Amino acid sequence: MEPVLTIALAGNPNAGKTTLFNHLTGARQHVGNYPGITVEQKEGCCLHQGKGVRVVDLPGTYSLTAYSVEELVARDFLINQRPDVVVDVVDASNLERNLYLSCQFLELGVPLVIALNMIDVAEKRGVTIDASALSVRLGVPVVPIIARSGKGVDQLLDAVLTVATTNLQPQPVFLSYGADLNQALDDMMPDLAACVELTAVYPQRWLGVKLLENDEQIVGKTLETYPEVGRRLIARGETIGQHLQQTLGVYPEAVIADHRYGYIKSITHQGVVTRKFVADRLYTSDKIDKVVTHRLLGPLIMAGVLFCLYTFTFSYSSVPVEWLARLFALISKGVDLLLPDGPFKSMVISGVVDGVGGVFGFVPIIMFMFFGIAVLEDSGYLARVAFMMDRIFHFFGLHGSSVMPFIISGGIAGGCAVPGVMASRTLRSPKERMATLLTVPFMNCGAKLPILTLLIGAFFSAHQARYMFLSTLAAWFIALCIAKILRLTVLRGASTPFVMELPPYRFPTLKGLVIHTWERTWQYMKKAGTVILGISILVWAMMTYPQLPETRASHYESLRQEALRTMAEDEAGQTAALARIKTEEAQERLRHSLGGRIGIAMEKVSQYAGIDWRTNIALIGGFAAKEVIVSTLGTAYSLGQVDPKEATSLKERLSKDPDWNPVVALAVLAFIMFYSPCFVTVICIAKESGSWKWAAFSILFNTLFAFTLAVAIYQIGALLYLR
Amino acid sequence: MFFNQHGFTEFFRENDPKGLSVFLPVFGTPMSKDQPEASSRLLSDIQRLCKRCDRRGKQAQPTATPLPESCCNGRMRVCAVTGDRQTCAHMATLGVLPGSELELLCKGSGEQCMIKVNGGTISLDAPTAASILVAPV
Repeated sequence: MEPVLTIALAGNPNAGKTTLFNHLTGARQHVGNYPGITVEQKEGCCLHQGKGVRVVDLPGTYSLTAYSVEELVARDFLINQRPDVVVDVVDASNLERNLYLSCQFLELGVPLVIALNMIDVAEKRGVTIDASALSVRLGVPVVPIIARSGKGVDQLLDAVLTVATTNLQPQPVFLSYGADLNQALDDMMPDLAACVELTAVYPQRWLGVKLLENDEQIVGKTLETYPEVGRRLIARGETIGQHLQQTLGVYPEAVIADHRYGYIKSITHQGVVTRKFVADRLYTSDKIDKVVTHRLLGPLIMAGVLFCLYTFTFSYSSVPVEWLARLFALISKGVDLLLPDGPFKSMVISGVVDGVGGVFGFVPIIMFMFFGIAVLEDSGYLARVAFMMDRIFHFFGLHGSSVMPFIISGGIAGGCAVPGVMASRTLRSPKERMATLLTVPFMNCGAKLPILTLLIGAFFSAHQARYMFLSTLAAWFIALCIAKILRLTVLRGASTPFVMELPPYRFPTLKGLVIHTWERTWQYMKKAGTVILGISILVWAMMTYPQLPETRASHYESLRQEALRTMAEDEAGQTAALARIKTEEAQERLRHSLGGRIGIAMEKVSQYAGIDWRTNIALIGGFAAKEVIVSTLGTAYSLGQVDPKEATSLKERLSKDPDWNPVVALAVLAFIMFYSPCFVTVICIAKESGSWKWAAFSILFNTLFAFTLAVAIYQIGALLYLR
Repeated sequence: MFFNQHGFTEFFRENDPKGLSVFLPVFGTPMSKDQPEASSRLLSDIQRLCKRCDRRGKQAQPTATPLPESCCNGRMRVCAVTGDRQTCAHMATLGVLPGSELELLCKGSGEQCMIKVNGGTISLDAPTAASILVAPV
């Protein structure tokens, strides 16, 4: 059924909008971005009394003045899209703060229904709210609900339908802002009336209030549409602003906010709210905060919680990861049996199955990680982590909320940059978000671990644990320093103040957790799964074509025939000879392929970092997925396919190879740790930043930085130890 | 009318037996620790000693202090919000206005603070917290 009416869910952050949205729409929802920005746009639909309802979950906001992207998005949606009804989700346990936004909806004159959510929590806190009295005072329907359990939601939808079917357009409410501002607004009215284009969209007095509040968008629009009148209006605003500064030391916004809160108090004090306790008490949540965010205990508890998250993600996900690996091995085997030998079979196995399998192999880890994050997020603890880490991250030009993407990406070695990049969506400030996006791939993700283990095990086996720990510290150090450099150069700009309302601690609902986890995992599968197929086929083709010339292929064939003929009686010798011929052929085929040729061409530059052509091929393969580095090194070093988990033989081979030594190993390690992120991460960076420009920057900058570091390590190391 | 029901005029009325105008210069300029004596003296007239400090025999700060430098956690009254216009506006939206009361829950490992205002818990980074001048209630 086609939706017949649109409702927008608006409200403060943590008021329960998303819980209500999930309850209303269930699985019938679509998550996207608002055009041009990365603020999530959630839409869904539901059916009530036989009528289809399109539900839009707006970002959480405290006001309708354009202080943040979220506020701008919410306001623009309400003004431009004109939903049939705005459902203002109000946290009943924190009524005054939440009614501040309701107050602005009334001033804007939108068709409004107030959903008085968490009425149970308010009652537990000794606060009783008379919904009908509040409804009378505000002049809009007020419906008490409990979004978690769905109690009262039907009545809410009844009220929504009633408001939607009433054809009366609500009139904007006029609030008094004191003698000075009222006078200023009265003076501005004739000029505002002349701005016909603007008053057709915005209520006239509301427009005046926004000009007094110095709202950037409204000021810009007014000056653009009516330059002369706009200048006059802004001059009037500046005059009153200066007057208030000189007399009261405040900006007009403070006076306006003060009067709005005064209006709210006048309503709540008229028998709407009854409190058992006289003063604002400290609730359990505040008491927990005193311990959890304590200067000494706080970091310890945080470390424990993050360790648990890490263990949960990487220990418990190993079983489904194993199942998926087996499934793809089975598919591979099936294809091997069904298809005839040839390039098509090779492409299906190496390109399609291995490529797609590589991406889907991450899915359980991603799912577990997002589930863990959803628990921390929905319980309210994640906000506390951001609070505790803000000072350190602030020094490096990042934000307290950057901590989680860093940890997920491998802050505790073993994460994955893909969910890390995606987790940076919780950051509000665009520049700090971008700095986080570009630096999280420096962390030691799980795919880098096999190569770190291999090289450290081969060349620094006496201090393996120490080197592994050092590599984690180095990753943190480099990532934070690069973030600082980016924030001082290409991402220069003032830091965003870290002012955030902390939600009270709550038990997350299973439904909410499942929906959060699924929607994020699905986004990953959709984004990465579609592009990876193409690129993995490309990488396969690069390592396979052009094939050996006919003469060389027949040369190896004749060698094989000769070995079979001459060693017919010595079975062991025959097998060894055939294996030797096979590795020689594989090596030549690799040298002859496009990937091999690129590797050899790159050696002219990479030799300054001690990296030879075979390692170059592995590094090119590593762009597809870092796990590929070990298996490609295995192929390149004439060992055939090597399982990353069973790299012992490759370890021995590398430690005995004349081209390798501890200095080369250290340079290669540094390069692998910091060079271009894998292409799934690159795609995610492009999607999250909204531009391929940043994805390209990430590839080039990281590779250049890693190469400079590797050259420095190799040249200094060679100078000190190899001569 | 609403202006007198809530907000900073209430603050003046409660604390100023001589009349509102005496304190206007205090709020006319952003305050800092090293502010001229003339304006800080006015605030010192209205300051109330922190009860906890009093109990412990400690000397409470004599004037309005930035939030991270307040002697104890507990209830405070906002004397002024300094900082740029956007910060002041954002704070006002959250209910942190001159004259309003807040509860300092805890200070983080740096100078960031966690406060409770209008029933909600808000975390503030160090620069924002430092821009809020408070006096104990």
